[in-house]
Formats: sequence, C-alpha cells, structure tokens
Amino acid sequence: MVEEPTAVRGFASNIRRRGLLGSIGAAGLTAASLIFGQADAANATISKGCCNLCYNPASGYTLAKCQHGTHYTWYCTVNSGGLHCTCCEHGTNLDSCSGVTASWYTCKYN
Amino acid sequence: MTIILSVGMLLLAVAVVVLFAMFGELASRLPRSSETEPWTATVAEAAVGASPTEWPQELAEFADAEHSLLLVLSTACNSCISIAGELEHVDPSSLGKLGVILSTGSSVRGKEFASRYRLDRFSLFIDENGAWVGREFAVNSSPTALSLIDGRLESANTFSGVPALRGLVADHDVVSRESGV
Repeated sequence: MVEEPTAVRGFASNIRRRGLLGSIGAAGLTAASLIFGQADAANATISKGCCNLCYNPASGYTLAKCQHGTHYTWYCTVNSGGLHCTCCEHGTNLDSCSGVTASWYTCKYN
Repeated sequence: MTIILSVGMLLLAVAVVVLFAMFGELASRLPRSSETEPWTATVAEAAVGASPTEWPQELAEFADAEHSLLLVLSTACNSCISIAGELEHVDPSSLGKLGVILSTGSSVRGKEFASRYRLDRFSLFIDENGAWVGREFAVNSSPTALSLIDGRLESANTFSGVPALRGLVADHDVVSRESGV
C-alpha cells in the first residue's frame, strides 16, 4: 500500500472542509430566501394623487376620452379634504384590471 | 477553531435574518396611514335626510338600525387602501354597527380588494360603479363615512383614517343620545 503524501492529505481535507462550509452557506442562503423571498400579493396598480389606477395615464389622453364609452369614474379626497381627484378607468371592467384599457386622473386643491 | 468560528458566524447570520424577519413582520402590522393628525370634512353633495328606497341584501340590517355607520371605500381610491389596511387590524365590534360599501368598476376587482384587506369581516356590499350609493345617497367619492339613524342619512364625512373614524363614532353616539334615539 502506497501512503499518500502529507501535502495531498491536507489538500483533500481542505476540499472537504470547503464543501461543508459551502453547504452551510447554501443552507443559510436558502433560509434567507425562504424568509425574505415571499413576495406580497402582486399589486400592479399605480398611485396618482389619491387615485389607485390600473395604468399610468398616457400623455395625450384626456378625462373626456376616458369617460367616452364604458368607464368607471370615482372621486377621492385627501389632505384634510383639500385635495380632490377624479379617477377614471376606461374599459369593459368585466375582470379586474385586465378589462381596463386606459386610466386617467385629474386633481385640484380647494 | 475554524469550525467553531464558522458555526458562530452562521448563528450570527441566522440571528440577523430572524431579526430582520421580525422587523418586517412588525412593520407590516403597523397602520399605513401617512397622515398623523386625524381629520374629517363634510361631504356637501351628500343627500342628508335621505332614506334608501331599497337596500341591498348585504346591508338589509342597516335599514332599521337605530344608529349605524357605513363606510364608502373604492378600489380606485388610494387613500382607501390605507384605511382598508388599518381596518384589517380593527375589531369590527369596536366601532359600533359598521358596514362597508365598496365601490368598484369590476366585482372581481372588488372581491380581490375585499379579500386582501379582510373587509368581509364587516357587513360588506360590493357596489358596482358605485351605482347604489350614488343613487340613494348622492355620494360618489371616498373615503366617506355615512352616519345613519333608523336608516336615514344624518351626515356624510370624508375622513383620514380609523382614529378619525373613532371620533365620528363618538360624535354620532352623542347626537343619537341627544336626539333620544
């Protein structure tokens, strides 16, 4: 039987130790990703003024265009009743935001 | 020695992870209202004195309730999200007889919103396009608190959050006592 040189045994020991530490690190990362990686329910809506809209209002779009045809218009108030916004979503409104084709808002201070 | 240090570092890392997780959980339980001072303001357009000609089944119990409060929220209203988040941590019985009218362009979106913020713990009516509350009380904005006595609209106020709502409930109780209801 040929005995392994001391340098070879030390190298093998280092490899085993690194493997162990690597496993521990991976376990730590997995635990962290499990804890922090759980995203909240997707919330794809956009805040504008006090409106909560499905889409970012496109430039050139207007409230009149939004309110033409099927739409949902609602009003909101914030800042001690000083800020009033009109929120509009144009579309079929049949199924969540997927039925909405465009959004618009306008705000004014009293 | 290296093993001991590695285990020590791992324990430290685990402790940090748990600490951050605890901070995250605590932060998620705090009310999300960005405004510190509670406020209310009268909704001038509301049809004060009106009694609905018909009540949706979900709110039928409010038709002849001595005094009650209906909150009008909307899926299109950003401040309503903060208020719904606050309501999620409120005991429904702590605000007297309270119901929620959720105005929405789509009943699917309304149900998603109600489910996310557990609004179904209250008497909840999903009002498509705000048609009912607009027709019966001339209210088309939110957040709005409708104070009712015997199903009749006594006052309508927009409000900043649950602390402001508690103030409205207290005022409402005083008015009810003074009017002998």
